[in-house]
Amino acid sequence: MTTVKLESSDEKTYEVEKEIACMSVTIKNMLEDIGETDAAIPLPNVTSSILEKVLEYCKHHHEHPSPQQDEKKDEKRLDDIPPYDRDFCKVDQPTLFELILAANYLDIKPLLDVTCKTVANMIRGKTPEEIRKIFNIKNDFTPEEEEQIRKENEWCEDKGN
Amino acid sequence: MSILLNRLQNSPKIIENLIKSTGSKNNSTSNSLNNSSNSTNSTNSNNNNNNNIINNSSNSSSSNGVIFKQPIRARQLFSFSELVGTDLTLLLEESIILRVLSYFDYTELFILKRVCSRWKPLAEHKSLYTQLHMQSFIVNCRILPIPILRTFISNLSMNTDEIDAIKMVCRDMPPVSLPVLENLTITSTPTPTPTITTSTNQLLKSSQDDIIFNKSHSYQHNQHNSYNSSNSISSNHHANHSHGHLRVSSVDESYLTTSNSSSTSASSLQSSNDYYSTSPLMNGSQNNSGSGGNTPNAQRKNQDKELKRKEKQRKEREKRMEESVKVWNEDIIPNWDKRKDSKKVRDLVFQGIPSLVRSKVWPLLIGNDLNITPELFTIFGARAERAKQKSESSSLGREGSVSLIHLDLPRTFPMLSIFQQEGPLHQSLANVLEAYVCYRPDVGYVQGMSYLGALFLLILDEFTSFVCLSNLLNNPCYMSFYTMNLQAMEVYMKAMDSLMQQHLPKVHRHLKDMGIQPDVFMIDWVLTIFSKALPLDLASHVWDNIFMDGEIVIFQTALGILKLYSKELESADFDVCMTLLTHLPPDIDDDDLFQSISSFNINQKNFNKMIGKSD
Repeated sequence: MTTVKLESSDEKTYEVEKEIACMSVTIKNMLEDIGETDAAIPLPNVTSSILEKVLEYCKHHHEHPSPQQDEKKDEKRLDDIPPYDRDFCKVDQPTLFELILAANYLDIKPLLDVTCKTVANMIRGKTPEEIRKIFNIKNDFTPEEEEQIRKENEWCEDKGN
Repeated sequence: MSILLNRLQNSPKIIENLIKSTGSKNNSTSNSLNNSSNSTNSTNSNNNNNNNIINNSSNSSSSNGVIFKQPIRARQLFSFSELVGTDLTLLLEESIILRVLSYFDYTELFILKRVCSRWKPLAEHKSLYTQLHMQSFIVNCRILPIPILRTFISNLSMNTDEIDAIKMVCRDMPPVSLPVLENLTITSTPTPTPTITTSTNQLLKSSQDDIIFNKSHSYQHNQHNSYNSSNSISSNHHANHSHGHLRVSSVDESYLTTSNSSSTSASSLQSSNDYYSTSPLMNGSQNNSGSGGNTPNAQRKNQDKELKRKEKQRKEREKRMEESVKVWNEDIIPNWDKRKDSKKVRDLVFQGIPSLVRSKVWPLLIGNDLNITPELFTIFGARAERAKQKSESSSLGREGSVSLIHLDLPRTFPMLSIFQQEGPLHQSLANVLEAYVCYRPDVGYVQGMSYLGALFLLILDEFTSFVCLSNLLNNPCYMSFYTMNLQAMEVYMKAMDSLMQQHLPKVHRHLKDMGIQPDVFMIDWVLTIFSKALPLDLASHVWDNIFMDGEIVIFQTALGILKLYSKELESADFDVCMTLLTHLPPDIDDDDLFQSISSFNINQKNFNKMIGKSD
């Protein structure tokens, strides 16, 4: 079994099975380009703690491959996160965001999907004020702008009141 | 979206190349990474403190022009957990936020737009409005206020089907947006017969209504051809455009001129009523008396005039609606009990309740004599769940008919897709109908109900829709139709027959001679209360009046429709009449129809006598 070495931004090295590492399209492309190598692949954008989590995720899904789903069909659903993934995403906000960035950088689509869905679930059904609170977003609209947008919104918020 | 994808795919490539050239990670990697994507934010300054990074990122996001920017790579500089309590979304690149937003439908996006100035352009990004959810938007715009439509629609990117759909649905499509749409149509419809393509797609879903849908389209198609051929005598150039714009010109003719000054407009621009009243007859001998003798130029002038008139009418209607929203909100709704019987309210309802206040006014008009509570709705919902588990034989009354509901849902407003399996209101409609079936197991589910539930749901929430549906159907007229009480139905049919005889004797005689009884069209019109037969905005307008004055309005409206098409119905042959009555043309004009309706003043007392009501 071939393994590859990955090096996190804080210069910790991890040895992982090639197949698991290749769940990241970024790493896969790199390996294809460099060919066989003993040198550690540098991942300057991923810290060791996050890389460990990402590898844990990849390992789990490598061992428990999920049945191929009709991707298009599930694209918009938010309630279809498998139990393992849901637990995996039960982390504090900074970690979740770091995971998103890592998944995006490493190009691991399932992980990116599931983390984005988790964020979407945090947003769903909330008012703008609640959303701002959750993410500490500063409301940078002037009152006039806010009124303007509220007006545009009126019809869909009115519904059912 | 494609830009986004490219970027996503490219960035690993870039890194990969860099690694090849530099061999190992160092600062130059991140530098050139940033440079290569034109980012103004370079992360080479390791001395930057956290605050600076945050400021930088917010700067970059506030320049709205370019959405996709190279992310800020802050990883080397600090750990995220040190940043608890600050806005971490600023560290997410916009493509990621877009990805998160892609899980929401347009109503939710409208709310997300309000979060902050960075999210607003993202929530309005057109890549988010291309999915199925787009179609629920289309549904609503039928009954949506035009100004909102106008601001919004220009942002949308749509495929041909959706443009077709939106044109079919929105007669009132603001002219502003039309040039855009026209260009899109022209470039993206090389297929000679879009009408057929669309309906074939629909057919694939193979539901009953889809077939009807298809029929109605080919019907339109045929009409159009006959219309084309007769007109091509006077205007040859029409042929060039006849195929590409079949649907377009039939539905949205009034707006074509603004964008497309050439031939299409000239020939297709005839007042919609003239067009429909004459075209079915033109198959054979008769000619359009108006256009026959005119030169194309004179015709164009007339059409321009007509267009201006329509435009003016539309503006007036819009203005009237805006004013009436104020009156409803500030005066009538707060003082409903005092105002509800006043003439002012009657007049305003006749004009049509503005779509913005319908969600408040309909429940008031319908009332809740049955005292249905949210608890009751929940209980019947639970009961429906149980009824679904049980076998047909063990359920009480017609409770077993809950299983029929799922068959019917996809057939409800099929071209809008909103009630289809994956549609946003599919489950809501199922909930309302199932609860109703368990509430009235003696009635059970009857085809047609899904249309009523659907139109309510477009405007109201689930519970209120249930209340309105239950109270509306709690009426002898609808009940006799929904329980298929033939004797009672006969009374209503006779009433319709004598009303026709009295008010439209010629139509009555001609239809009778051909053996077309009122029940051919009336059963459908009563069961769905016109929501299937008329375009949604018109149907809602008719409903406004029915909720005000009761079932007599159904008969008035039916007479109004017959009068509008009396020319054909007095002389055309069996097939033409049947098709017309069962598939009304989609471009009926609101003002024309209501003018026609108001010309029938049926005496309530006489009507009661006719239907044997003792009051």
